[in-house]
Parts: sequence; structure tokens; C-alpha cells
Amino acid sequence: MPERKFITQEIGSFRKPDYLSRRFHQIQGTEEFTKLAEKATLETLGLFDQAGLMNVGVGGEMFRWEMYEHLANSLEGIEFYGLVRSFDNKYYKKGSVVSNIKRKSSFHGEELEFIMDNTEKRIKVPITGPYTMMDWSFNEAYKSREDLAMAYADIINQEIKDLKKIWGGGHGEEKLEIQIDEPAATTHPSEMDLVVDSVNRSIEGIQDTEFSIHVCYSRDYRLLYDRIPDLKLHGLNLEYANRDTMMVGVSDEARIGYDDIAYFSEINEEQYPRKFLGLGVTDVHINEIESVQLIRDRIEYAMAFIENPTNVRINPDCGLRTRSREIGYQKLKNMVEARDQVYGEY
Amino acid sequence: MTEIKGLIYGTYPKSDELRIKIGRWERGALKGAEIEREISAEKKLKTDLFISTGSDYTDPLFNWYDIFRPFTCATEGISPGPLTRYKETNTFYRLPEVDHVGRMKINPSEFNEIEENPPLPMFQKNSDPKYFAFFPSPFSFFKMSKIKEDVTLEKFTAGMISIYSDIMKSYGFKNTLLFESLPYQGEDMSLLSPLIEKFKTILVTEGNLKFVDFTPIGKKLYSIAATSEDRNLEIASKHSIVPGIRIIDSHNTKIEDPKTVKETVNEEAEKAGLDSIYVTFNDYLDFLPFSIAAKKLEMIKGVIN
Repeated sequence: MPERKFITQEIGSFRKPDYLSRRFHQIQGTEEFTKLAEKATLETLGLFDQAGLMNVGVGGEMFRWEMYEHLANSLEGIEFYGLVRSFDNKYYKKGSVVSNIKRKSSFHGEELEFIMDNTEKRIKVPITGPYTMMDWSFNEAYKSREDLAMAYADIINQEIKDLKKIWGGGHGEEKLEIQIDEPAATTHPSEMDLVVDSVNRSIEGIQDTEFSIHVCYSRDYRLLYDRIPDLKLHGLNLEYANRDTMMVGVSDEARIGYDDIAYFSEINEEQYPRKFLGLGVTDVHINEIESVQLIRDRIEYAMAFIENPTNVRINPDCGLRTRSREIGYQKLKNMVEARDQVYGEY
Repeated sequence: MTEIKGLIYGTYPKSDELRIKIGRWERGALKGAEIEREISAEKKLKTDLFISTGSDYTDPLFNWYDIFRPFTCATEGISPGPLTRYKETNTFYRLPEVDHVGRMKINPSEFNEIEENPPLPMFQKNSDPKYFAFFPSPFSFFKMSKIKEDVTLEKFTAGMISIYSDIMKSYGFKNTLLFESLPYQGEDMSLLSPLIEKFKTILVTEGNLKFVDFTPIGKKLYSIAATSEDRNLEIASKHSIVPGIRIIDSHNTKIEDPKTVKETVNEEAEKAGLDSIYVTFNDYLDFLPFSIAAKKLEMIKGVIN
């Protein structure tokens, strides 16, 4: 029986080696690109193995440049007119939906096939969710935000069905795990119905698959927790470390970033089966490497509310592409060590 | 026939070239004085473009990392906090953390290197009567900051208005534009009077104006540019000389048809019995790619007369 207690996992992205990131856009779509993306994936899987991660995701998303752009580039109906400011002098590509969107080809199939051939560990495929894709696009073509989000949901649903075909009889004893990435999920509180409907549509009719949602940097996770009964998901992978203090200990003051887990648990108690919570225990926006003790304290604090260790997963707040590979590795290593230390206690 | 005037305000998207140069400055490959020269040169180009549309305009603010940043970084008692989502967008600003509002630590009209933002001066010098100096309204600034308990809205507003007035004086500006990011919540509008009394002022407002009492200001503003909620234009026209309507979408790349916009503006102006009206954007243009912002300017040129 595979281990179910405190599964350690990646959220998605990991910093690309220079030989890939420097030439990514120049060679994308060529044989050389595939070769380099595969090489980078193998090296990243090696790092994850060394760190002791139990779920290796898709090896750090080496086939993808960025979560929005990768999916948008695989669709008909989207034009890119240029970059848009995210903050300071940091920009991202925001597409304009200029006509009905349609999938040109599978956007994660090649990546999944490669991963399945190259690891025995658990795999989780992150897919940018329909609500976030809608919210991060300019909408020139659809009548409403609702229509566009549901169109994205239909496309994601087709993609997951294709991934299921690739998964086929499975990978050891594990189910295919899909993580719907929805960083925009709680940005428009009045649209939580649309978040629920579009995420549910994305996974509609797909059996024998584990579905989770990843949300990060939300101003109010309660908006999401309140909708747990409506979301047809098995778990949530969330960011907490960023809002926490760096003090060790399990006091409420030290663990301020995790204080709303009590509210999560209240809602989760009514669910059958209960949802798992992927606990962000390391901040991807700072270079400081959280000590094993600090991460332990974060896990132990959360356990006071969640109690059952099979309902807790341990992960970074978000993709580690924001840090160097060395720092990312150290953060994962300490995370695994902290998990191993608390393992015996529950 | 109603005179339709254009208004271009706030942070404007940078060209790829300038963005890359600022990136080099961030990494230490360009000196402060060098990047300031580059920024000034591009500001000059864009200012010329704004002028060519026939609109009234503000500085393109290429050296403002967000609409509060020069104040957040260079005012005694205010410091930059964590990145925070700007309203419901996917753009972030550094949360101003306010202990008190002191004076500006530097002369903002001169070259100055400050932390967490490209070098100042804050604005280019400009004596064009169509030019307005852009400032974030102290009301929205207050609501979008983390404020120490004993700093009241009254104290904060008085402090910021005094800073804005000093900046206006140091540049010799006559016109100003106060930009409101959030709807009013019963603020005492007379708190803005010290600025409005001295300078020709455009107030770019957000939300429904039905419950806003402009009378304590004691005089008509030059303009209140309002979003298109019911009765907003009527209220704006009661309290300002050239009311404005914020109907061009700066959150969508679709380019509006100038004929349709013109018809809508004319209809609205006629209903409110106006001789002149501003047509402007529902937000500043920095939410759009550079190429689209240029097309929106071309479009506004076709609307105004």
C-alpha cells in the first residue's frame, strides 16, 4: 500500500537551468527544445529524488514557460499584443481572446508521457484553471466573463480526458492526479459561483482521478473554504508560509499565517470523505531557507486542527521557479526532513 | 454642438526598449543618471503623442512603479510594505505603511535616487495649459494603505495635500488631477479644498456619486470625471465646469469605434445639457499592452472635436 501520511509534494514550477531558459522561446517547437526540456526535467527529477520528495509533479514544468502563456499558446482564438505590467518592472504576456477558443493540440500530453517513462514516484499534473485563464485574458470575443470561463473549462476538460488516455492502466498503484491552478480564484469575491462552476465543468465526467486545486496569495481563503462543499475536488494545495512569521514555536502569534486552518477544518468536518489540505510550509518569495524546526512547527500547528495525517500534504507555497535551483532544492530538502521528523508522532 | 475634450491620465505602458533598460538599471548595469535620461526622453516622446491627440493629459509616469510609490518611498513616516493586489486586477502595488505623514525627504522635482523605485524627478517640467499634474487622491491612498491607528483620514489627507501643494509650487504647475481608485465612503470633500482652491483641479472619481456631498468644497471643480453609473454625469455637471465621462475601456484590448463613442458621449451630454464634456478612460492605460494603448489614443483622437 503506498504511503498516505504527510505526502510531500511540489506545487508545479521549478527554476529552469540556464541552458533551457535562455533559449526557450528561440527553440520552442523544435527537436532541440524537446531534447533540452527532457534533459532539464531529468535533472530536476534527480534533485527532487535527492531531496526525498514523494510526489514529483511533472518535474518542475520544464516544458512550460509560464502557467498562462503555455496554455494560451496551445489555443486558437488568442492573440498576444504585448506585455502587461504585473508589478514594478515585471511584466507578463496577457492574451486577447479575439474569437472562439479551440485547442490546437494537447498542451501537457508530451510532458506527462515523458514523466511517466522516467519516474516511479507519484505524479501530479498542474493545469491552469478556467477561471484564472479567463481572468487573465482580455475578452474581446465572448459575451460575458461567464461564457469565456466556461469555454476554457470545456477545453481543460478535453485536455484532462486526453491525459487520462495517456495515463491508461496507471502508474504503479496510483491514480492520475490533476491540480487545477487557480491563483485568481478569490480575487473577485462576487464571482465565486463562477469559480465553482468552471472548475467543476473542467473535471466533469472524469472518473478514477484525484483532483485538487491550488490557490495562492489570496486575500481571503474563507471565500474558498466556504465553497468546499460545492467543489467536486479531493483536496486543496494552498500557500500559507508567506503570511506566517519566521519565529519558531506553535503559538497562535508565531503561526499567524495558519490561523484560518481552524475555519477550514470546521467546514471540512462536514465533508465525506474529507478533503486533504496541501500545506504551504516554505515561502517561495524569499531566499531565506526555513529551518527544519520552523517547518515542523508549521505542520504541528496545522495538525492541531486537521488531526488525520492522511489529510495533510506538505508542499511549498507555490512553484519554486522564483528561487535559484540551489535554494529551491534546500527548501525542499528541509521540508522533507521536517515531514520525516513529525511522521512518527501521528 | 457639445465640445468633446479628451483626457489622458496616469501611468502609461512603457515601450519594450524602456522596459528592458529599466531591467538593466535594476540589475545595476545602468547608472541612476543614465536611466533617468532614458526615462525623460521617452516621457518627452509620449507627451508629444498625448499632445498630438488634442487631449488634456498628465505625465506618463514611467518612473512610478505604482501610483503611490514615489510618495511611499520618499515621504517621512511612510514606507513600502508587501506587494498587494491593485483592486481586482492582476497588477500589484507595494502597500504603503503609514506611521505618520511627514515631509518629503527629497526635492521631488530634482534628480534623486530613491529606494524601490527608479530615480526622480517625479514629473517632467511642463507649462502647457493642457497639462495636469497627477496625484493619487488622499482618500484612496488612505484606504489602500496600512495605517497606524492614530493617523486619521483628516490628518493623512492634510499631510498629503500639503505635500501635493508644495510639489505644485516647486514646479510652478497651475493644473492638477486627483485620481480616485476607490468609491467614496462619505468622506468630507472639504478636506481637498486647500488644493482645489489654489489649482485648477480635475477629480477622476470612482463609483456612484449619488451619496457624495461636493458642496463643502465651496466652489465648482474644473472637472469631475465619473464612471457611467446612473445620474453620475448630472451630479458631475452640477459641481464642475467641464464634467467628464469615463467610458473608454483600459482593461480590454478591443478598440472602440470612435463614431459609436462619439454618439454616446453626445447623447449623454445632450441629456445633461452640457456645452463641453471630457471623454476619458475607465482606468489608467498601464493595464494594456503598449501597442494597444497607442491605438486607444488614436481612437480618442477620433472622438474629440
